[in-house]
Amino acid sequence: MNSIPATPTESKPLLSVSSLRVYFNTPEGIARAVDGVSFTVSAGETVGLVGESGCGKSVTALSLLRLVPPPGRIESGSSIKFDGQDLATIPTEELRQMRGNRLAMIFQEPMTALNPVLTVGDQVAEVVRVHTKASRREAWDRAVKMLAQVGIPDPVERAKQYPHELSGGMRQRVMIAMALILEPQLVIADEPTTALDVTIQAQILELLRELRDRTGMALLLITHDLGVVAEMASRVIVMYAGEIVEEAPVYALFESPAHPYTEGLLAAIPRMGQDSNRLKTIRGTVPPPTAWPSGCRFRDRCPYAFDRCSKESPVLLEVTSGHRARCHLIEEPERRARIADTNASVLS
Amino acid sequence: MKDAQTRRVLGLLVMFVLLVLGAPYFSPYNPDGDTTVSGTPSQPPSLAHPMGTDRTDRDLFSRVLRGSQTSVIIGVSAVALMLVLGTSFGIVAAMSGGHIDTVLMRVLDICMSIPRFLVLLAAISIADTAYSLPQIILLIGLTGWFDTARIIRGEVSALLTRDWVFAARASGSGTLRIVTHHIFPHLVPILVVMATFGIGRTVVLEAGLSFLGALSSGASLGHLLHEGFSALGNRWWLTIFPGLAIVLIVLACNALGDALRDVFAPEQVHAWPTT
Repeated sequence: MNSIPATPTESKPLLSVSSLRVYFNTPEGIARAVDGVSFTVSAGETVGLVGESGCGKSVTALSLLRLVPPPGRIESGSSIKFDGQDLATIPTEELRQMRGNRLAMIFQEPMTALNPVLTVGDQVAEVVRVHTKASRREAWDRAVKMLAQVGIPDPVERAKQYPHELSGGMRQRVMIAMALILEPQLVIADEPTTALDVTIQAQILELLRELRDRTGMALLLITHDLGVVAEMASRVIVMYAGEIVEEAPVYALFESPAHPYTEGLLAAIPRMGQDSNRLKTIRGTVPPPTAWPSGCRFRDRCPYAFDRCSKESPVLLEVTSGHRARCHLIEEPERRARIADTNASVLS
Repeated sequence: MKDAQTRRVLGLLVMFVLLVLGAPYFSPYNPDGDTTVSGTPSQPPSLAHPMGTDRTDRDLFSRVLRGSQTSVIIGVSAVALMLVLGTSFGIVAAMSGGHIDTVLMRVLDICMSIPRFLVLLAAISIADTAYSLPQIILLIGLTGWFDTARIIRGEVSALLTRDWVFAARASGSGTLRIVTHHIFPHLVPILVVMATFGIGRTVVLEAGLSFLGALSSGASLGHLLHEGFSALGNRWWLTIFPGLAIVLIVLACNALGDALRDVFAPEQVHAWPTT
């Protein structure tokens, strides 16, 4: 199960997102769901994107394919370089030809992401039909073959069935087949296992890992489950309130989280033998995206917050090579030590 | 609707359709015949003429069969035109979204605020001669698609937010493909139900227009009503039988509509207006 996460084979990034901003005009004001996000994904690399609900993970994912629903819009100045082209600005038709073909997406809810009135074989074959000159027959045959590859038993018969005739795990396999049938270079998986039973989750992750290793695709894995990240990713990006707050190789992140938010997320994972009676949580909730706090956006929930946090927005600072965090504590580490001594925990 | 009841209604409907489609073969007499059939015009119903004869001695049963055929042809064609126009408009508005959608819907609001019957009456009174069959179909079809457009636009707007639309887009399907492949199958049940109710309504509307003298050739049921109305007092059969035929057609359409509505996702469909 726990194979070592794949390390990037090349250093030249396949995907390079810089100052991505996605805003929504709402009656309450402008919701800055994604507010200046920059990161890269190298060919063949698996990157985990984590954070609570409402912190901008899914909007980030959708914006990479320019699928943010109105009134959401990708602000000018954002750049999404994929293999030399800027997905934020290329013509719609060119982008359409890349979707499903060179970069694909696996959605969270296999229950709702398949069209209930079309057979699953149809939906997998459609990807082939859209992007290649394959005939109906050839596309169907490829779809059946792909369904077999994602571990669907009796794919010839299953392909003729409708989504409601399949279990959740099977449907997620169909979604994966749709995303991977043309062997894209980058797959964005938005919470691919969240809607599934725990045992099925493990199977789906195993399948994703196997297909990733076989095809050499890069994987951007969006999840709120740090366990999934630990199993799959080589690098982790933590988002909070529309911003990246920490970015690190997976071991560094788990061993020495630099941002108090990451620290909280890690501490919130229940552990066997933990002597407290209560599950640990981070106090408070993510603020609404129309009203991010000034200064550090996490300060209202942060046990270490001091006067500088409300006055000055922290920037991403390097902790060690490849490990960056958006926190003033990196420049003033003695404050963390002092609080940790007296208070012993981030958590309430 | 209960199964047995559905079957009975459908049986009735099938009989009726066969009767109407086979009107030329079933008709005991030529509906337009100028040869006298009985020797004495304006006979009350009898065994030889179950619905009597009119004042030019034509067999009314044959004329009602023919009239039903004409009325149903007008109903089906006009509804087909209405559904095509309404569906196209609704889909275009919903898919365009934003300002285009808003403008199109306001245009629709304006169209819907004009009383349809007045427009049709005006069209009738402007024309020097009565309208031909295709003209009547066009007239009814062009003035009747606004409801359809509104319902379809609402439905498509809702469908567009479904995850599977995003999934289809994410796999590279274009807008046209999404409309024809993914969205349209979801509209079919709605369209089928709207069509059945629509045919009933259109038959009534056409009868009203023909009664007022809109249709020149091809006597529809409304036309027969018009002919018989002046003699309602002494030759009642000339009005009553065509009237009953209209009632029967409308009841059959509504019953079929109800039955179909129960077949296709009842929870989703019952919210629609039926008139």
